[in-house]
Amino acid sequence: MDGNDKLKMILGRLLQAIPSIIGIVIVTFVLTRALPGDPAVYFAGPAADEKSIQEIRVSLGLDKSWPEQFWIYITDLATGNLGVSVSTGLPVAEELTRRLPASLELTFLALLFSLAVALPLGVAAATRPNTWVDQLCRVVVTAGVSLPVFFTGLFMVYLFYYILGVAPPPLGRLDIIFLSPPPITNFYTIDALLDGDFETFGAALAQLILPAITLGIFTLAPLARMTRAAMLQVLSSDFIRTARASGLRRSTVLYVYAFRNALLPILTTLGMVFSFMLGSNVLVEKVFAWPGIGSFAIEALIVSDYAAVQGFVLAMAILYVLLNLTIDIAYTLIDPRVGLDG
Amino acid sequence: MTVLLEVNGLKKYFPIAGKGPSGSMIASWLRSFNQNVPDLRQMLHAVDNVSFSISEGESLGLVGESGCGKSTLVAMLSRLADCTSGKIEFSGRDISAVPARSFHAEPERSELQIVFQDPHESLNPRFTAFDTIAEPLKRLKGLTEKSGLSEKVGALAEQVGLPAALLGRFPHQLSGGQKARVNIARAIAVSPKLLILDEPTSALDVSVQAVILKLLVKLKKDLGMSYLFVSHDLNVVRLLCDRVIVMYLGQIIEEGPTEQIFTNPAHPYTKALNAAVPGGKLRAGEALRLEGDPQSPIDPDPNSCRFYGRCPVGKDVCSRLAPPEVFLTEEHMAACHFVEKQASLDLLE
Repeated sequence: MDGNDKLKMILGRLLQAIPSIIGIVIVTFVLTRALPGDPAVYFAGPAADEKSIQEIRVSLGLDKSWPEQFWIYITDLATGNLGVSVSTGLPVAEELTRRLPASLELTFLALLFSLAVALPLGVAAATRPNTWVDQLCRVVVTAGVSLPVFFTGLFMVYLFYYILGVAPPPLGRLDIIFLSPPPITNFYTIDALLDGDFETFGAALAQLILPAITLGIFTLAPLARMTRAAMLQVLSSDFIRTARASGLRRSTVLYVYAFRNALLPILTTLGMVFSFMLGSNVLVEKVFAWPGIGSFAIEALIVSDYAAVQGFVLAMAILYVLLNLTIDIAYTLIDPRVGLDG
Repeated sequence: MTVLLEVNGLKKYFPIAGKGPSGSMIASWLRSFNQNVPDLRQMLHAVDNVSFSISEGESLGLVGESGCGKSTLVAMLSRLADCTSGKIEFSGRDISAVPARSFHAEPERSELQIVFQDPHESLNPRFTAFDTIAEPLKRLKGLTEKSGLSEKVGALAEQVGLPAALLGRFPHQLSGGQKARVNIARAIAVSPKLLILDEPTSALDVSVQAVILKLLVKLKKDLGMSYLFVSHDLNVVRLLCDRVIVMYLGQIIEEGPTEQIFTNPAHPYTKALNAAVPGGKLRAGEALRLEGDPQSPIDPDPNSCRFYGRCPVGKDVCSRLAPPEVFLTEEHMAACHFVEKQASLDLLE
């Protein structure tokens, strides 16, 4: 498969994503309208009378019919205007550009941590089944899935901040004595590095580590389990024996032959875990006062903040589409068979 | 003819896991420090005291039913599994002393190659035919693109009758016969002295089998390798092999030149095998049926014939005394108490 074919495939996948995004735009619009509760009543406050509620309704555009509202919504979208969040009073687009990188930064580091632990652990457990490594893998996996993240989070804070005092206070992305770095990517660690400010980089990283590990412990379990299972399956294949007869070293057989063949299911799990993490790390965000996108969405949902919920769902949907595309491309890089028939 | 491979008292026992206190993790942990901690686990005798030899240029057939230890023996001979005890001498060197996990670095790795049983499963699904054939050349012969790797792979493909156009294909794009050719090309790429063929045709269609067998005959003539041909298809063995060994429950029960094994089998088991060959000389009603199941391979009684209970001849003595190795001729051996009597009976007929 040459580069041209690959490019064609990527473009094809991108085109395939367009209908799903259109669908998402429609569904989020309908769903947010179908939410119980009238936002106008909520924002008018308990003391409001019928007239002031009506005024708010008009100012929010809620007095118009659904088709009209939808038309306004998509024309706004086309100009990049996601509306104004009624609960925070800020434009949704601005909230998202501030909060999404915070969540992504946390998720990426957590993923990095869980990969760094899960892959070697899974491979080691698969090559030495029923030894102490395998038992360790089992214990870690069970602990990872069975301990709720808010518990591990609180425990981490208690141990590393309160008892040992090695971690900074769990209060958001950066200690208050530091100024946030000039926003380029809105990833504080990257921005600090781009700015050449290593002190801020260190501080931002220190804030990141505990929540990332908390999140990583949870996502480590499915990854380690999948690695172990996939490796066990591949290692028992006949072609592994062929490789050994061809005179390959054990380590080469393990990492070049077996691991590459086991990567596909691992990658699939990784994609699922990643999308799951982005949307559902609300608990971690709450414990560490992390200004992420999860807590933003939950708060918006509770108060029927249409614009904010719509913006959140749309941003996530586009992110998922990109993520799936990335994973599809990664498949073709790992597995030369994929994409030939696709 | 000089002896190429000599196997002496080769054994492979597998512990049956989780039986009794001596099989526990603690016991095996203690045993790693002190060899004297008793190992009372039950043992499965997969290969039990097997001795034979292969001369240069000879093809030896190995036959026996499923579960008799053929594949375990092959795994040990090809140094992909360690043996419990015994010796494997290859070109005068004891290769059983080298642990299987480090055998890849030995010069014998390229001299002793194997064609695996299932041509479909034994190919890496991510490798093209070219990659598979080139792998041992790169690893064992140090060939690179510069030093004529492509030419060598092309020559090998031609030798096994694989069209060069198919070299870029992945296993799932090849037919069974083509995969078998790739497997054979991979094995002969490093010019082995001994080629072990573990039922190379059992997973193929009958028409393809014939073609592959013809190819094997031709390759042997061209390259002068020795073959160890493992099969349960007796007709194939008869066609291809100079000598045959017959295994039953981990032991060799009969060994001899092919023609003698097929025309004058001495052991009752070999007779039954022969009688079961389709298109044989036996008329209906004469077929020799074996009743009952084989004995358990787990801790078998050392003082009994393993075929006892299933053997149509079996007498009292068979359950009390291990059968002796009786040599009918210098080369023809059978392990049975009643060989001579039977042989004389056969002569009377």
